[in-house]
Amino acid sequence: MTLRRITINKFKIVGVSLCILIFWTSFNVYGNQKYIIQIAASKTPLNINELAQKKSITGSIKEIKGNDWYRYYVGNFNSYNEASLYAKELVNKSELKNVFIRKIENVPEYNEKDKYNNLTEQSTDSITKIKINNSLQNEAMIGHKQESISTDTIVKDSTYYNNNQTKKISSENNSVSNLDDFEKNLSNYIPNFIKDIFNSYSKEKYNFRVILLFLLIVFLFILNVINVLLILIYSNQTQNSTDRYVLVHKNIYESALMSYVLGETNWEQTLKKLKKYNLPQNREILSSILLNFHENLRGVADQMVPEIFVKLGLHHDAIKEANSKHYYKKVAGIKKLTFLYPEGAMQIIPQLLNDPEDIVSAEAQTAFVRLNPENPFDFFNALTRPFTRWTQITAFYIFQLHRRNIPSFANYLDSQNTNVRNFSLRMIIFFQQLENIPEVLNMINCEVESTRFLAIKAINDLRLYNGKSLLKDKFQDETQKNKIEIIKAFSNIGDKEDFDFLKEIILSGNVSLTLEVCRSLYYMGSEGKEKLNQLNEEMNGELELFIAHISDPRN
Amino acid sequence: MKRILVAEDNKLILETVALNLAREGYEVLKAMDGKECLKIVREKEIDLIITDIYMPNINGLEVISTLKEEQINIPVLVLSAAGAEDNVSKAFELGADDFMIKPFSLMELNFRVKKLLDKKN
Repeated sequence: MTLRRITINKFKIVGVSLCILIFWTSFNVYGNQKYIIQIAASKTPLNINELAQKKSITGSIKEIKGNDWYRYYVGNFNSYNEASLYAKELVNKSELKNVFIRKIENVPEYNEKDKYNNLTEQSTDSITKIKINNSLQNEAMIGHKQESISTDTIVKDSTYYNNNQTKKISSENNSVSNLDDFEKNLSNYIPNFIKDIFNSYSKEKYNFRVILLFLLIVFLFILNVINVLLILIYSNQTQNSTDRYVLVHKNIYESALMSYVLGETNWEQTLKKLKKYNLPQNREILSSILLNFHENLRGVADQMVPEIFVKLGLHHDAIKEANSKHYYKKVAGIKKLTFLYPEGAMQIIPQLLNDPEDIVSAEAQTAFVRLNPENPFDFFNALTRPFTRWTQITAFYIFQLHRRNIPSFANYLDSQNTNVRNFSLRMIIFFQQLENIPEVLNMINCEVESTRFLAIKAINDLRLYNGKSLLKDKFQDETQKNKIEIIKAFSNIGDKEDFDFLKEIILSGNVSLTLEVCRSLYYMGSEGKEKLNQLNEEMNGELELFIAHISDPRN
Repeated sequence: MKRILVAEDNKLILETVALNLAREGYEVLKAMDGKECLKIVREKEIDLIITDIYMPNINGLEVISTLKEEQINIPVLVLSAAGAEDNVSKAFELGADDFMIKPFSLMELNFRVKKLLDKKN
C-alpha cells in the first residue's frame, strides 16, 4: 500500500510540475506595446511620397495626426532594441539626420510586413487609415525631442517602394528578421511578469534576447528533470526504508511467534519480544504472519494462531477493516476474520453478502461457504447480488477440497436469482442428484434461456427419460441453441418412438438442426443408424453429406 | 545425529520446521530454493530431504529428478500445497518417499520423518 501511495505521489508531483510548466509557457502575455521611428513632424500635412523621395526612404511611411501636429513614422517594433538598431541603420542609409523612437501602447495589430517597412513590398500609392484608440508615449529618442500625442488620431499609411533596393536590403536583413520573428513567437508563451524582468535585464546586456530566452527555457527544463530525479530518489529511499523496516520487524515477530507456537516461550515472554506491536504497520505484519501460519500449519497451530490473533487485539482491527468504506480494506478484513476469527466473521459476513462492490460480495460469499460446513449455501435465499462464475468456481473448490456435506441443490431451484438457479442445476448434474428430478423438469418452464438450457442438459446428462415428452412439447418454442441441446439429448434418451419427431425436424429444412438430428440418430444405436439411412433414401440422398460429415472420425 | 535438509521458500515455514526438527534432536540444514538444496546435497552427507514443490530457480520435482539422475539415494519427503495433488503423484513417479499436504501438522511431520529415517537404516 505504501509503495502504491508513493508511486501515486511521484506521478502527482511530476504531473503538477509539468502542468505548471505548460501553464507557464501557454500563458499568452505578449503585450500590445510597440516602438515606432518618427522621421518628421509638421503643423501642415506633408506629401508622403515626396517626403520618401526627398529623404531616400524606401517602404511604408505612416502619418499620425494629433495635437495639431502631423507626425510621420516608419517601422513597428516589439522592442526598443530592435527599433534602435533599425533607427541607426535608417540614419546611415537615408538622408535623415534625426529620428525619434516612440513607444506606442495598445495599438491595433499591424501587418507583420510593416515591421521592417523598408524590407517589404507593397502596392504603389496604397493609403490606409488606422484609428488609434490610446495615447502614444515618448520613451526615448535618438535625436533630442520628446512629446505626447493625444488619442483619436488619424493615421495615414503610404507605401513608397523601390523593388530592387527592397529586395537587396531584404536579403541582408533576412536572418535578423527570422531571428526576431522566432523571438516574438517564443515570447508569446512567457508570462508578463517574467517578460518584464527579462526585458529590463536583457535590454542592458544583450542584443539577441532570443538566446537568453532559449537558455532560460533549457534551464527550466533541466530544473524540472532534476526535480523529477530528486522525487524518484526520495521515493525509492522511502520505499527501501519501509521494506527494511518491514523485514526487520517481520523477522523479530516471526521468531517470537514461532517460539510461542512451538511451546518454547510463554505469552509474557513472547509479548516482550513483540516490540511496538501496537503500531498500525506492525499490527499488519503480525496479521500477515498469523495468516501464513494458518495457511501452512495445522494441529496445535490451528488453535494457537486464532488465540494469538485475539490476544493481540488484531480481531478489532480486522472488524474495523471489514466495516471500512474502502472495498480493499473490507476484503482484507473479511479474509483475516474468516481464517483467524471465525466467530467475528459470522457476525459481519451476512451483511456483506450483498455488498454493492462485486469483489466484496464475492469474498463474503466465499467466506460464508468456508465458515458454514453444514449449510454452505444457505446464503442463496438472501442473495440479491450476482453469484459470479468466479465465486461459483471458488465455492465449488472449497466445497470439494474440504469434502463438505453435499446439500440438496433442488432447494435452491426456486431462487429468484438466475445465478443461483444455474449453479444449483450444474451441481445437480455434477453430483448426479437424481432425487431432484421433478424440480429439474420444472425448470424447463423457466423464463430464462440459460436456465432452460441447463435443465435440458440435466435431462440429458442424468438420463431423465420421463422428461422426453416435455422436451418434445417445448421444442417448437425454444431458441436455436436450446433446440440443438434438445436434439442432443435424444441421442441419449431417445428411441424408435422418437423417430417421427426427429424426422419432422429434418423436413423443416434447418441445416444446423438437420445435422444435429443426423448425429443423434447416428449415435442412437443400430436402430437409429438404420432409420438415418432409410430417411436418406426417402429423401433421394439429401442426407448423404450430413452422414459423411458425422461418420468422419475427425468430427 | 541425523542430518535433515529442509528446502522451502517460505521463510516462516522453513524456520518453524527447522526449529521443530532441531527440538527433536536432528541436525537441520536449510535451503531457500532447489539450487541451494542440490548444492548442499552434493557437499554434505544428508540423511533426509524435506522439500516443497514450488520453489524458485529449481522446483522440488526437479530436485528429486536430479537426485535420481545423479544416483543419490536419500529419502525425500515432499510438502505440497492443497489442490496440487497432481504434483504429488509426479513426485512419487520421480522417486519421492512420502508426502504431506499443507497445512500440515508438525507432530505428524515428526512421525513421518522418524519413520523414513528408520526405514533408511
